[in-house]
Amino acid sequence: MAVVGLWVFVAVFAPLLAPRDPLVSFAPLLRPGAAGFPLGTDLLGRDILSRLCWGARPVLGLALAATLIAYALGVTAGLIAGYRRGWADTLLSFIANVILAFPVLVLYLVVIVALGASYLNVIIAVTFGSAPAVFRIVRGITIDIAHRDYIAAAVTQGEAAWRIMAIDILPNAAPALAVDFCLRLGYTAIVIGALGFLGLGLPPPAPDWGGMVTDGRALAFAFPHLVIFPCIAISSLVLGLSLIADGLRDAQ
Amino acid sequence: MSAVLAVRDLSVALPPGSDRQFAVEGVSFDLQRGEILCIVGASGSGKSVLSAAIMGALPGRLRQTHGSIALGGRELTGLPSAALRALRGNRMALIPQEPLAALNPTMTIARQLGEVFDLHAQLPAAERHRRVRALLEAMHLPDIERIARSYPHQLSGGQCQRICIAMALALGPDVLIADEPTTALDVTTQAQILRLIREGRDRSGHGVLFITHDFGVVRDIADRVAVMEAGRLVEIGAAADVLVRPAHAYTRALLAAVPKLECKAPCLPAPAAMTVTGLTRHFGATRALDGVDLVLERGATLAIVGESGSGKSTLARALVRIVEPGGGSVDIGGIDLLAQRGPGLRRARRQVQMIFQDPYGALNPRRRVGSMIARAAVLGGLGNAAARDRAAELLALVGLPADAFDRYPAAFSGGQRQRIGIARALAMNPAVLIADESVSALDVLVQAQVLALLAELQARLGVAMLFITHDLRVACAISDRIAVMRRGKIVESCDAATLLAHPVHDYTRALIAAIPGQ
Repeated sequence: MAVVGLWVFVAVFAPLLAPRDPLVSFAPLLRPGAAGFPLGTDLLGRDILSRLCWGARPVLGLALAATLIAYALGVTAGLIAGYRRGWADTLLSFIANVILAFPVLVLYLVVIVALGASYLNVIIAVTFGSAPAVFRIVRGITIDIAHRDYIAAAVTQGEAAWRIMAIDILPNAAPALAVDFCLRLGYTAIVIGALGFLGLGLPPPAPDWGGMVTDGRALAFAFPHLVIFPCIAISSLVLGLSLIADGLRDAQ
Repeated sequence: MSAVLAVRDLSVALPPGSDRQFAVEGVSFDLQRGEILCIVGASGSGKSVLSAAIMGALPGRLRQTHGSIALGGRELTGLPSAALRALRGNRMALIPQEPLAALNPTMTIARQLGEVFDLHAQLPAAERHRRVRALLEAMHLPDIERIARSYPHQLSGGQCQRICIAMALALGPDVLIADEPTTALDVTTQAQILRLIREGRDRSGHGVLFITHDFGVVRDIADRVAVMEAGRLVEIGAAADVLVRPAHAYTRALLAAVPKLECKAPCLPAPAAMTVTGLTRHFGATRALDGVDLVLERGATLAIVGESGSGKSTLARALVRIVEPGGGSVDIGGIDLLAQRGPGLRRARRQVQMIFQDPYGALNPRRRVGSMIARAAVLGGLGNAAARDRAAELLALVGLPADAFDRYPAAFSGGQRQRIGIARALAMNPAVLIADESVSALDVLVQAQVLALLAELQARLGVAMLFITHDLRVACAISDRIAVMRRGKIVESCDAATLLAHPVHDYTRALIAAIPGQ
């Protein structure tokens, strides 16, 4: 919780917290602890601390936006398929299974290569890959809840189907979904890091944790700080989100 | 006679923050050799914790804080777990409540029974085989060779319970603890199992600690009775004394709440509220409903009685179209419910409302009680403000406090939840109310209250009621007419008094004969 809170804080207040402009070159390849550059500088002489601070913004923003959109799609489709069953379920499940049959990373690559690297396209790619998984979870929970007596009670009252899904099923599925949401948020952060590492993230010179690892990779043995600090950033964020998910699970 | 089990001043503490400090508090009693001692109490009275404490199998959150348990003069409290394990199954054994859950689904019956001998006694294979067959024979099981080769899921609930009893008796224990062993079974099966437990006792002379909530069962089987209330033993004595001249007020209240085999006077003939004709529903080759015909009169109660698998729950669910019937018609006020589609169906089905069996599953845990009932009233045709008033009025009518309106279902007990379910069903002003085993999950005191409430509401509102139950006593107490259902068919239907006095069908006779505690 604290770790994630810290990164959110950093992302929001990046302009105030970052000691320098992340895009401006100073002396290249300074070691951590050098005067004025606590985490050193990269190959082009840019301050790593500042780039990490600014880099928190796209990671968090994109991960949140992409996961939310994936959830909006997955939850809607999952509720309909799980509650209605029949041909709607068959069709939606088939689409989801086809998408899930591809290795996720390949899927992301295909989407981004086809559409080009940009904020929007990263969101589209992640949504495309995540929504089917969310769909499957929601569908499963919905089928389970739909067999409970309080749903039968609502049906015998002649309640409209969309109200049963929204008022009776969704709130009872929410606790399980909250856990998955946090895990998926972390997973999406990794994906965005991975896309950056593959050079398919944000176009340079924007600060991007995954991109920073790629840039530093060639020199990693001589100047490990180029790689280590962005890696710590990604790992701590994902770990924090996983811990929140565990906490939510235990609280239920 | 010597006490084979002596419990002295036994206390088991509940975790902090529970509604009371002790699950079992200061309980003392002796169990004699060859005696059946029934422990009776409502759910939550601590009777199951008591049996777990004696078996040395308390759940992790509970611990014995005080008192002693002696088995044949040997103190069990503080015994190392290895020594306790040697006694368990050997000198004392348990008959579980859920026989199917107590058997290992991946092992054949013969292997499971054989394993009991392997754990506690070294026997040559031939001798073990002989003893397993002898045990199965003693349980009056048909076709022993087939059953020995079967897996638990291939047997009926009653057969599984016989296997559990065989397991418990395998090593000739001194004490047999039976924790609600017949609660999950049909009445006719229950009568057989009770006979089996008595037979075992007569043969080997072990003491039986029999835990139950059903006074009918107590009447049938008990030599002595102990009554528990909120963890304390309030009364203990010979069955004849306690049942006839109860000394404690709580025992008197419990006994008074037991439904008697007395019928209320049938109501006068009235026009039909619901007419069911030729209702069918097949699940694969099983005919769950095989052409059911029913007439339910306005303001009358019709009870559907039958054992599990008779199709009575399917009937209830088919009448509200939660289960889609295969054919037939359900006429309510001139409209065939089964012919309706879409919005017409949504309107028509509001005429039939259901009160469910499980009070914990029937209410959405994330909706406030008031909004749940008010929503039903809105769907029944009221405006928002009028619906809120109606909901508050109904809560008062079913005997719940006004502050129940803004609370969630979790704040209420099983009986209170059932009242909420009744209020919700009534909020729509239905023509027909279907109660599907609505009091089966409730304790006898609460059951009597809810039955009285239903009868009172019906007299006041004139709603027709279809009351589905496995318990003929309950059916007699509440209904004008009774229909007996078996294998998807109504085999007999007439007014309650006639049915009891002059049953025509063999199956009805068997049901009446199996009622415990006559």
